[in-house]
Amino acid sequence: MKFDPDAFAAGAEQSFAQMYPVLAALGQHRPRMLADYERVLADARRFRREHLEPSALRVELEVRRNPEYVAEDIICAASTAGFFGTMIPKTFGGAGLSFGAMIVGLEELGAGCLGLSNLLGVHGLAIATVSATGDIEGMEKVCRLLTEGERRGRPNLLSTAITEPTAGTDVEDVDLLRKARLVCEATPVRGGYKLNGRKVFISNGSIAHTHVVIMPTDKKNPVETTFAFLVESTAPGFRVGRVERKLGQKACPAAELVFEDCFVPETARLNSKALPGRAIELVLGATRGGVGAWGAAAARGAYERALLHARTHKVSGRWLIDEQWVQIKLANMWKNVALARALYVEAMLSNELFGLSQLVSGGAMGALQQRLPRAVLESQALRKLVVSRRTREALQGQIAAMEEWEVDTASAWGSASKVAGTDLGMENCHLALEICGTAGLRHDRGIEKIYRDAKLLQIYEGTNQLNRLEVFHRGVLRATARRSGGAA
Amino acid sequence: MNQQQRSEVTIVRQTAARFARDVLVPARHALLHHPDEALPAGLLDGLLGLGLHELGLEEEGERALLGAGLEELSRVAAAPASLVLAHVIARECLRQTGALERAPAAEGAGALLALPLYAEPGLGDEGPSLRQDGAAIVLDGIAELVVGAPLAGAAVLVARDAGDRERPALVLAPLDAPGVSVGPALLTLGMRGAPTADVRFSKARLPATARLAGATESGVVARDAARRARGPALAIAAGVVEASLRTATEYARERYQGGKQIVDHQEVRALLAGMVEDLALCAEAAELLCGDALAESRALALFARAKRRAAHATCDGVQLLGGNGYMEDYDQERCLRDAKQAQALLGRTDLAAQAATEAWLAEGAGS
Ligand SMILES: Cc1cc2nc3c(=O)[nH]c(=O)nc-3n(C[C@H](O)[C@H](O)[C@H](O)COP(=O)(O)OP(=O)(O)OC[C@H]3O[C@@H](n4cnc5c(N)ncnc54)[C@H](O)[C@@H]3O)c2cc1C
Repeated sequence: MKFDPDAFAAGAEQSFAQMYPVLAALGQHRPRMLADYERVLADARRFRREHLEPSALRVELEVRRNPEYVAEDIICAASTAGFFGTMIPKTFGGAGLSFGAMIVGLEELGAGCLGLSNLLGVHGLAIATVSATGDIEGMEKVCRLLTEGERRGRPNLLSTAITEPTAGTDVEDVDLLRKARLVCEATPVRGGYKLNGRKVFISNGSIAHTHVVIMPTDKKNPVETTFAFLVESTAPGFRVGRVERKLGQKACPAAELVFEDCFVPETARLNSKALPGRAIELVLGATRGGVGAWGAAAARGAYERALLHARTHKVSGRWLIDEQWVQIKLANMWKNVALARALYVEAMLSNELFGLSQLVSGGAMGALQQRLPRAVLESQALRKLVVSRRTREALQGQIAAMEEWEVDTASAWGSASKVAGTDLGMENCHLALEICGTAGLRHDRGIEKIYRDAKLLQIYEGTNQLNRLEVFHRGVLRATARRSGGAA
Repeated sequence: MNQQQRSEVTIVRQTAARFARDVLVPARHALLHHPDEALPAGLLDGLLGLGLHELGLEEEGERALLGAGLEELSRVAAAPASLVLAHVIARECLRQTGALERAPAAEGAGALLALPLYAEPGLGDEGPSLRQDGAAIVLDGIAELVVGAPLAGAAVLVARDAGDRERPALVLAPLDAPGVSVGPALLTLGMRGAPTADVRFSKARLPATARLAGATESGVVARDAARRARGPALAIAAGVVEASLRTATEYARERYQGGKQIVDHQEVRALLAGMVEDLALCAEAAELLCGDALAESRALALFARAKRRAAHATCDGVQLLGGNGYMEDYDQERCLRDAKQAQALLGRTDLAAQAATEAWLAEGAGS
């Protein structure tokens, strides 16, 4: 089929409804939510064109020369655009949008540059972790670090430290955790805790103001004693170790965090039950869908660049886009984007129905966010009402009351979308490099970078191997057990 | 392969492995960070001292020796191997067009020939255009990603003959001629440490003898040189996969997760099994392709498939190491980049697969 540039120009940029038909349909029932999502997409699209894409290759080169380089200009621009506050409740100074809205924005940014998108979005993991404890005081603290900083032009970034040098997969799953060889421990001392050990590969670890650190108080019994601690980077006994030199996503530093008798006060420990089990499941069920969205972003970034290349380059005197082998590849790439997106949207919606999002942006909290004017939501009176022991107990009660099948459903969708999205993302990178030939190999054309960036998505938030097992345990096995009336 | 040839291969392997261990391993950081960092003095001289670049593609025996040497180098770094391969293919083009004596007479790296190693052989993608002007030819435009250009004395490349319906013309271009400029060394996905650049021609007048062959012959020569280079090119990919598999296997034995060595998890075994399969395919195919026994359709198909599998195997190599695989320390990320770039050696795998079908049909298959 001959490529017709005029026909193409008409549909160059997909509308929200074209990208998200399920949501568009849903929006007929919840038009407000749809309007939020559309706004986030439009804002992210503008930010991508104006800031991310023009800087992506430059930032990579800077980090290649100096792994500690940080794209401050991009952080500040995102701050001015209000990006960090997207999913933070209005009561805490944010935009009060859902986790889902944030993910839609991350796909758009990720299609421009996965590394910068991670730099600007990885605090979502910290917020999810704190939310899943139900500790409303802790939630307020981390949220305000972002929003108040954002108002001043530079948010205080957050990192989440789970992985240890000898335990990566093991700390992502409660059954494996029992067998993990942990090196970190938070020993109770008078007035607080002393943290010891090392965390590795922590995204934004070297630039974060506060770290959500996951540690057991007794490493021989991690399942019952693992909690979340808020540790400021100025805490005595805390230091940033090495900043890694890595294959891709160079714009987002991954660092080692070292704790040497690092004292934190009692209040630094988030007030909750031990995290392994329900809380960790809720966090990963939510954030893995986010990684699925970055998978869609990788698929899309690769597709968009391959399409541009095919429209503007010839082989043997013929435009690539007029070659059938190229058309078929582009069609497959389009399909892969659609599949990856469809899955993460399912994961996102299932998370809003059954997972962490129903606690944070659903229920009474969600209704308040939607209905009350910002002035009321930001008032001291309401703040006092919200940030209270009663709210904490209510939230923790809600978490405990969630049914096992609900959590399983959200987790299975999250893991499935993570595996599928990131595999499809990598597949599109392979296809893009094939179409682009020589141009695909050079850094200055920005195509090979997506390949390097996308590979990370198959590794973090649990390797795709672990996530496949999660789909088996939570999707296949538990669903089957319930149907046959057996215990899971 | 007879006994004599086998022992020659062993000697080449041992020499190349020693060079890799003694010179390339210590130079690892500079190789990874080229072009930001300069290559250590002596690395190129040492590479040339191995004599691999003097091996030809004409004889099966020499191709096997070349393949063995390049495979050994690529276990540590594929970049130096790609420099040698570019030079050897360029020389083969000169040999086939009777122009060997026109190769640059310089000493050291200046004697090297550069080549756009990742372009489709003989297709003249979007390379420079060529125009006849009396006794001279005039070149205009850019030859992209010419491997070895920042070092070499001359480059062999394909231009499009403006006077002959844009058909390919094989050219030997001295890189210091007026109107010829070599751009800065480029950062590429893999094979970092093989200085590579764009070569720009601005109304560059070269003697007519710089044109190595006419339109029909140019394509034939370029494709034939590439055909002979398939085995050694695949040996580069095989070396990279071997390195990745070795690291993965060691790591799978050392690393504990879930209370056991990760090699005891079936998913990890499956990753290893896939890599072993891919390595077997690459290494065997490289050896086969150094010979002349296969029909063209099979040779092309095998070449395309093996290059693709090499890239996939090294992705699995990274995956097996989890987060460590993504970091520079463990060499898996280098293998992933080198293998993906090796997939593009001598052009796109898809076009090779299409050429395989054409050959299959031309061979009268099924009739
Ligand atoms: C750039 C980067 C950023 C990161 N950011 C963060 C962050 O912000 N915070 C954080 O806490 N962590 C972070 N991580 C860590 C990441 O989550 C871990 O790397 C990941 O969970 C895998 O753990 P591991 O690296 O220890 O691999 P391992 O667990 O050692 O796995 C090695 C291999 O064994 C396999 N394997 C292990 N156990 C099993 C099993 N039971 N069954 C089958 N196969 C198994 C794995 O699939 C893998 O192939 C980051 C990692 C990277 C690379």
